[in-house]
Amino acid sequence: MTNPIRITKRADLSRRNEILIRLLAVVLSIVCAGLALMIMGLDPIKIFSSIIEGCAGTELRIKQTIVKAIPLTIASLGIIVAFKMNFWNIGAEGQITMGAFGATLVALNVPPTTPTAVTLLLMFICAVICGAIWAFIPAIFKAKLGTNETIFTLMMNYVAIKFVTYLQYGPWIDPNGGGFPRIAQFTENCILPSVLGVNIGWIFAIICVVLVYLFINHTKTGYEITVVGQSYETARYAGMNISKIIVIAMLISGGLCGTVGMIQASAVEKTLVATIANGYGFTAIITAWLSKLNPITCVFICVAFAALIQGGAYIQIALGVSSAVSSVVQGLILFFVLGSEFFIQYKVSLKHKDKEVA
Amino acid sequence: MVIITHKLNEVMEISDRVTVLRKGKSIETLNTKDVKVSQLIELVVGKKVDLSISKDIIEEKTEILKMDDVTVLDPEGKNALEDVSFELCTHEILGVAGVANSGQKELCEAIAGLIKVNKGRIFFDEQNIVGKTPREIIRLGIRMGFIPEDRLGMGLVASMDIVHNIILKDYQNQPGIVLRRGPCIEKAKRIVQELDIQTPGITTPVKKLSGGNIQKVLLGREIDSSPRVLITAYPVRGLDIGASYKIYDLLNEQKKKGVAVIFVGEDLDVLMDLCDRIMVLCHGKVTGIVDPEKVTKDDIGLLMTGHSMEEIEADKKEGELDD
Amino acid sequence: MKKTLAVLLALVLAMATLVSGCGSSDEGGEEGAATALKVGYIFIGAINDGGFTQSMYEGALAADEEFGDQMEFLYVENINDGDTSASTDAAVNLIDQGCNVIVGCSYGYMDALEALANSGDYDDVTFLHFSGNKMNDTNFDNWFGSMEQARYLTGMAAAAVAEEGVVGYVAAHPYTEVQIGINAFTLGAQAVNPDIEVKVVYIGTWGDAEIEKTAAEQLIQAGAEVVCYHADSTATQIAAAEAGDVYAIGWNYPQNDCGDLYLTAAYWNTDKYFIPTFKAIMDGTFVPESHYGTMATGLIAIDDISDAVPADIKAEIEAVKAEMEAGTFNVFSGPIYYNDGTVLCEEGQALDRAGIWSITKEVKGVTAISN
Repeated sequence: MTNPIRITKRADLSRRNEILIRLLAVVLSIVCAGLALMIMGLDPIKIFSSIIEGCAGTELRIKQTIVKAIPLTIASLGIIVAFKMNFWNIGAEGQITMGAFGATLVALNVPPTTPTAVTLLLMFICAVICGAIWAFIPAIFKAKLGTNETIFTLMMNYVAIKFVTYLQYGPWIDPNGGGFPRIAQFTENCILPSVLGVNIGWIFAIICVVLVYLFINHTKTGYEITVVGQSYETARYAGMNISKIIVIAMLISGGLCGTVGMIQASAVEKTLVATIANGYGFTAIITAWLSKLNPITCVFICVAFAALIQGGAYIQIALGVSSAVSSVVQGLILFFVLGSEFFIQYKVSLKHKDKEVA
Repeated sequence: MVIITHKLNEVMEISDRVTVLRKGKSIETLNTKDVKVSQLIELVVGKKVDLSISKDIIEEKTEILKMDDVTVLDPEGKNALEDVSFELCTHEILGVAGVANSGQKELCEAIAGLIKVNKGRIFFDEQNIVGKTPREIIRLGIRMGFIPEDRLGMGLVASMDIVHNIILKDYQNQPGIVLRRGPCIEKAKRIVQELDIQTPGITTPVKKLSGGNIQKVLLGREIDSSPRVLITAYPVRGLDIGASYKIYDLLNEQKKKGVAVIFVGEDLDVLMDLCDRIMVLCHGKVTGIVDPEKVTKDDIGLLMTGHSMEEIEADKKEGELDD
Repeated sequence: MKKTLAVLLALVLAMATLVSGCGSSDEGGEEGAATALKVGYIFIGAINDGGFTQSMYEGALAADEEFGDQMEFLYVENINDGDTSASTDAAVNLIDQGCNVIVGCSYGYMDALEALANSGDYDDVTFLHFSGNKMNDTNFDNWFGSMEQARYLTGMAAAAVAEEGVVGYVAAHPYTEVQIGINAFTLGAQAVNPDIEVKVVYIGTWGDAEIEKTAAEQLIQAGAEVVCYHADSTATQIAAAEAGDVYAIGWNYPQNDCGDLYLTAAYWNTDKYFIPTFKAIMDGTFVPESHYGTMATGLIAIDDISDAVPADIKAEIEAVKAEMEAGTFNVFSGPIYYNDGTVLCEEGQALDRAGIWSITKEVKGVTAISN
């Protein structure tokens, strides 16, 4: 026999073994990251403890970790809704950007005397609409013409980012900015309040998690989305209006991403910048996937990821290592955790010689 | 030479020796001339099965479905169905025979409202349902069951459990936006019990069940909605003999209840035994609707390859004259 | 499964031993006594980018050299300046490591630094922000420079070698800072060849080597004999080198990536700001202000001019440079017209800093397109 390794699809895997494989993956990733760090001449224990210190060492750092987990969680939820339907929405980045644009559109145009609650509500609505429109465009093309949504949503990201760049350097440039390319800062009544020292986005995130969980598992539309995701033919057979379902799911997906844009613009940047989405839309694809499209699991994964980002930034400074080091650690952990999926789905065994007689 | 088949007649006719495999294990190897079909079946299934298909002719028939001059084009614009007309009555099983891809799939899907009908009308209780989506057909209060050929790819959601597959048929009639599982859990339990479905539980994904049990889930769901017309496309394909006969029994039961059943099949013996009438398709055209009591298998074979009944009758007469 | 676990355990053990080994060898890294000044730099790019961040880093090294034991510094690279949260984290992390001076080397860090400076929690930390326009009275200062002077001189050098009179300019975004550079460059070039044609391509991004290179190639195709740039990488120089017969002018940092075709570079000599500012902080005489470094203060510089530039023009350039250093030469002296015919500066007048920073268009002689 030429190939001594046999790869077979697992028929069934007990819950216990599944958890064991996942834990193993995490441990292995830490071990290998440690080895890689040693090869680079660094002390892995120091690096790992610094990562933890960096993301949770002080109250401020814990808050900053949560600030990063908020956009990641809500964006992941948006992606989960789309992915449940097998709609590869790679466009969260653009939908976030357009959501931020929508919020800013309101913020720059309301009189400064408008009550905060009113402006924030208007900003929120406008952000959701803009994010949803950005998702609606590829959705309607997919529903009516069957275009490939992966490329479409990806390209929509660039359009959104370029559009905001154009605004930032052109029509929306702050006349009081001294010639620098920035959009005016939001006035006080356009800024989301903080609760327990962190912007109110964390409460939004929790509400969104619950709503998305209920939506997917306990509504007819959520059920339809899952069926469409599994098989178009079955959905057609069951009399579902597939086009309508695709559009609804993407409006929700884009609306959630738009909410992220609103939070980032209003609470974090307090203005609109072209890089407002800051890669969260892409990272959220990974977190959504790692959480196996489960909205509850997604919270934990996103917090872990935020911690990794936050801790990674800290070691750069605390230990004076290059930013590449934290990328290596993150990359290795991802590699193993994603790699473990393979072992959960497939069984790899060595062929035994004595059984090959026949 | 090795031939692998689940058609036992073929085995009996051409093989010298026969090995019976069941669940990956070799059960027994025998000389073909020493065994009877019934013995072989017992070995295949693992227990004794009743191999007779009963057929009760029920006289009180009323027309329920009528296809009138229906033409369906395939994606390339060729006729998949051409000027097909027939009617279907309660208390009968209408068999559909034909070589593969003669329009059987299109016939079923046209009735179910899944594909575009380019010409003609389909009446369900005098109501033309051409141009209506499955959803609209449900809304009209028409109760139709459909067992598609591709059971995991179309009739069921492979990764979902029995309950969620039963919801598929049910949820559209639920009011509001909330998905109610409760009634479907009850229904799932009942179907599992009534059809004796072998499953670890009602929350096991259906793709993990055996072919026969998967088909029972699908059939159980469709029957449970008390359909007036039941369309079944190759419902026993890939099933072992035991499971197949169970399905035939279920169809007969439905017929007795007054359901009009369409049975698309490939085994002519089964078609002859089970059906009240057999419609033969060839290249999307109906070449004949015959009474199985009055024709032979050879006749149906000729119809399937495009001959008309008239030609066959004429040939027969000629043959008699030659004799 | 058991076998895997055993292997894993062995690996962990092996690592643990190794770790304890290298842990002990890593002692003594901490300094005992605190130095007077610990500076934390936040960089937008990598310290070896051959451009903006490198010019900042070289200044940091020079300042470190200057103050010796009295000073230490830390830095953090690749911090996205469109991400206030990340910018804040970078600054706070540096402060937590004992930094009492934070230098934010990109415009976008402004809001994060302002918030920290005014928060009351970091009154003992001084924040020095490059290229912003915000400050306070105690610990928040901004600094920038008259890059127009260096641009003017490089424009003269470019015109000197452009025989057909066509020069290319790869530019980031069409707004004031970039337009000041283009206009100064054009005015300098016109001082040598009044008919010079400056073709500008706006690429819509600060740093994307591929896009920068494509734009440079596009300009070369259109007949540019010299290319210069206002973007982060040296891709334009590389495009010139590949073309083989097109000169290039560097920017931000005096790095030559095109051999003999390198004419000169307009760059930041950042230690000229760092050293006096750090000294003032140490002496306790520091008062925030809005610095605008010039050729006179040395913050703005140009690299040695290539011999490809004829000696007479070289002498001319040196003469203008001397005037700039003496503070007697104003780049924007009227009459200057925008390319749409409107007046930028009347005859007999000159633009002051505020006037220069109100520029919103390109001057006559420039043809600009956006990619």
